[in-house]
Amino acid sequence: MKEPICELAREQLTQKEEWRRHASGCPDCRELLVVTEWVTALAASTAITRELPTAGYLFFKARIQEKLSAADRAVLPLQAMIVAAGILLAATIIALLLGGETRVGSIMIDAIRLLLLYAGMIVLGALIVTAVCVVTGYLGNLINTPHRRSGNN
Amino acid sequence: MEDQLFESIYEQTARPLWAYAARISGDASAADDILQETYLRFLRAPGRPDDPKEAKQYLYRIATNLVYDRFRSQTRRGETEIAEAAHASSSTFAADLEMTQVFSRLKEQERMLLWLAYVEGYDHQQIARIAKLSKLSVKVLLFRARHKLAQMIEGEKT
Repeated sequence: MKEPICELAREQLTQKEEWRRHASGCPDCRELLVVTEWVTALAASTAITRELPTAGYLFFKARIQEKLSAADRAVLPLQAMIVAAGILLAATIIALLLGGETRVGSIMIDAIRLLLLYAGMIVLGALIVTAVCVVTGYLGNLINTPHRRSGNN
Repeated sequence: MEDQLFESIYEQTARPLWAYAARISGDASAADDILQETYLRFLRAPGRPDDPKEAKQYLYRIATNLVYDRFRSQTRRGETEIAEAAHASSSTFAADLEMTQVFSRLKEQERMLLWLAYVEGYDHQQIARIAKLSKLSVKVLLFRARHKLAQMIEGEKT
């Protein structure tokens, strides 16, 4: 398969008469000319029949999406804590139902005791992570806002 | 990105980008969604270019990915034939039904390559970046697509 050399000069030559004359005798260039004209005509006939959204609307929508995803990221540690609490609760209920008499039940009760022992530390850790996320988001906003303002001026 | 800079890029690129999405996906309604999602992704992208020419290429790359994603999900759902039929009979393209029918017979990638090369005037290197292909692949695939379309045009004439 051979890419016609004339392809390299396509943009410069498409409109030139001499190339059109050459194309009439060169099958590769004729093919290129036919396709170029055909696709260009197709593009010209592609009419937009509907109203496109404005740039301002898209800009605003993107900003809202940005804020929402930042908020989602910020509550992620809290969501993890809720899931952990749910698992702990479920385990507690199962352990209470099974009672301390069975082996599984006593193991679970021991595990819950151990977890509760460290629960304070876990909660404190989660709170610190949440605080860091919130502060980082706030600082990020602080850094970005003056930049945008100065950019607009 | 500043509001004004984005507005200027949008003014320059929205219509050609919509036409590209509409012709490649073959669905004017899908083109609306693709257009909107393209600009939203562009605005959210951390390393987006400010230069209008580079921004335009970047936008075409996003739009091409979105068209491919849409095509892949259609293929998974087995809707490709329905989409092609919709393409061929779409009222948006009714004015040039013959051309539309010919164009819809090409594969999605062929339509994309032909459009980028002959409507947008991108060179092989630029198309390779937009379509995430190698320059050599673009050269070969474009050659084949052009040859195929030329034969189809000839076939329509006779």
